[in-house]
Amino acid sequence: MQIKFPVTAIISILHRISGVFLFILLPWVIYIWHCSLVSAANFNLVLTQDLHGFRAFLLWLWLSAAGMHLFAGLRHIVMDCGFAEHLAMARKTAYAMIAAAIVFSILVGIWIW
Amino acid sequence: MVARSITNLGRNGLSDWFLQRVSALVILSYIVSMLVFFAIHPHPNYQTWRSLFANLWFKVFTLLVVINLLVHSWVGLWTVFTDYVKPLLLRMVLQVAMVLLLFALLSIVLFTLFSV
Repeated sequence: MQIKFPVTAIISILHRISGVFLFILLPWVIYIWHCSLVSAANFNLVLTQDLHGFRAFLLWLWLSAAGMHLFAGLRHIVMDCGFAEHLAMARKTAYAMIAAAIVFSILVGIWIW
Repeated sequence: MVARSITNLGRNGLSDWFLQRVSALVILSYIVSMLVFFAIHPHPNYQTWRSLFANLWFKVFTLLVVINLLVHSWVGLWTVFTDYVKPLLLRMVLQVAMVLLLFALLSIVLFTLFSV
């Protein structure tokens, strides 16, 4: 597709995609949260199985999606209150949110590994 | 006759809009408190982790947030399904399945909190 998308459109579709992704993996995340509380043995199982390798990557992806969804959502609420609605500010806040999401994602990555 | 939505959560679009924002802020408060916990205990052991969720007030908070998550997800996914799934029967099935799944997740959290 040869259309150049405005950053505001990109942040909007990322908000939607991250939301759907958060829902799809939510059962798994709640399941490992449940396992981590059932017993000490299960807690250690979660640490060794789900915080390594592919599952750790998946968890990092999920938390990064949560960050992206959160920042884009905050931007929505700020705009609902009437701030930053004009195009210039809307673009700036969009870039700021993407930067915040990337920083958050890096911090979560450091924490997991 | 005007087509009416029967699978959305709020009474009308404005109600959905409001539920979406309020639930988002409640969930945000929970995320902030979890970030505070992990700032204090970056890599908790089982006892520390368990004692967080054994606390009655944190159980109340957790359950409240899961209910808010259900509300927030319902409204959001209702929008997504309505936008992309045009065949009526398929959309109804998917939206009902989505809501049932959300209630099942709520039950899992409830039972887990009971047992801690």
